[in-house]
Amino acid sequence: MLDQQPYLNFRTRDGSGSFGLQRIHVRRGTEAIAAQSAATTLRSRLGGVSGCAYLEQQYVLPAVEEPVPVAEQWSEIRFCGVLIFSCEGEDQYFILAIPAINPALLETITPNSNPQLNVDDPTLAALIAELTNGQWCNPFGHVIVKLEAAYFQVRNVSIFPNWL
Amino acid sequence: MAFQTKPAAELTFTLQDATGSKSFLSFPIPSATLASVALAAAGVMRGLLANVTGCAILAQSLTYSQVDDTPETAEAGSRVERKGALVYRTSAGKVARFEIPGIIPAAILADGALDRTNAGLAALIVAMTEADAIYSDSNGFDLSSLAEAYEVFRTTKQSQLPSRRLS
Repeated sequence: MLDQQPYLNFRTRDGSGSFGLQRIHVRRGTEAIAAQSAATTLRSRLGGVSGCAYLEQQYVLPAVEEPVPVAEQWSEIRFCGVLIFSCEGEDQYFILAIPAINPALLETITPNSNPQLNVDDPTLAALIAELTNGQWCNPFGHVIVKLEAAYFQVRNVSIFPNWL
Repeated sequence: MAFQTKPAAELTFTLQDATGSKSFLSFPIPSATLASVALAAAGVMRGLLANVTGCAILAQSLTYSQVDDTPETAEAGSRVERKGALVYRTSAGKVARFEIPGIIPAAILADGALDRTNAGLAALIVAMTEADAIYSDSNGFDLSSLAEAYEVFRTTKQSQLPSRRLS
């Protein structure tokens, strides 16, 4: 993965309710805390020269794969493997839908049921172990604890553009 | 006005299948995680994902977000299309542009140049080039000095048209 130049994004809103976006690049290797501190300082300066309200700031570290990889011939994003995890805290969950799930991971447990994922497969078990090692969380910051369900699902795809 | 850090940073992968269709896959990670640690974890996750999906993993981004939970009201009459353009020279001898949306009229001179004696503008210009500033151009070269500063208007997009169009 080739690291690209990280940047700060500022989201603004003007007096008519329109939204705008500002971007400025920062040095590679800048830690998130330092970037956010610099963004706060810059925002205070910008507030002195802009009539817009500043709503959100982001520190983004992008990267692209080089050379560009090729997908498997059988892959289609609408055929998903869905993993449901429980997290710390009451009624906290994380749902992961992996597009173009490898068909070798599917198994049918009972007749007429939707295919389940074989969680004992070494490749899937390794992914599950990584997600439950205490490093990952749900969008609300609750650490992922345990896998609760793993199954196959066909999802809708928007016609234009082809994003899922 | 108080900017709050979101509880989780977001690691997002861009995937593409054999038909050319793209998909995003996001993994939240606690926002206190150092960027260097999160990027290392992203490398591990990428390898594990590649074993279970037939998609090609084209790109990734790691995003730390802060949101104002009590946003200010924008100044009446401000428009994001009216911008102050700051053009900086870089250490590579090229230029990099930074645009300020909704530039205040007090910072603009009669001929369209920005007023560098305006205290707010002067403080901003210094903040972007001072010794411990972290800013760079898109190729990673530091900003060295201001080359140009002027007012510019950008095209109004459909979504930026005023919500009230008849008084």
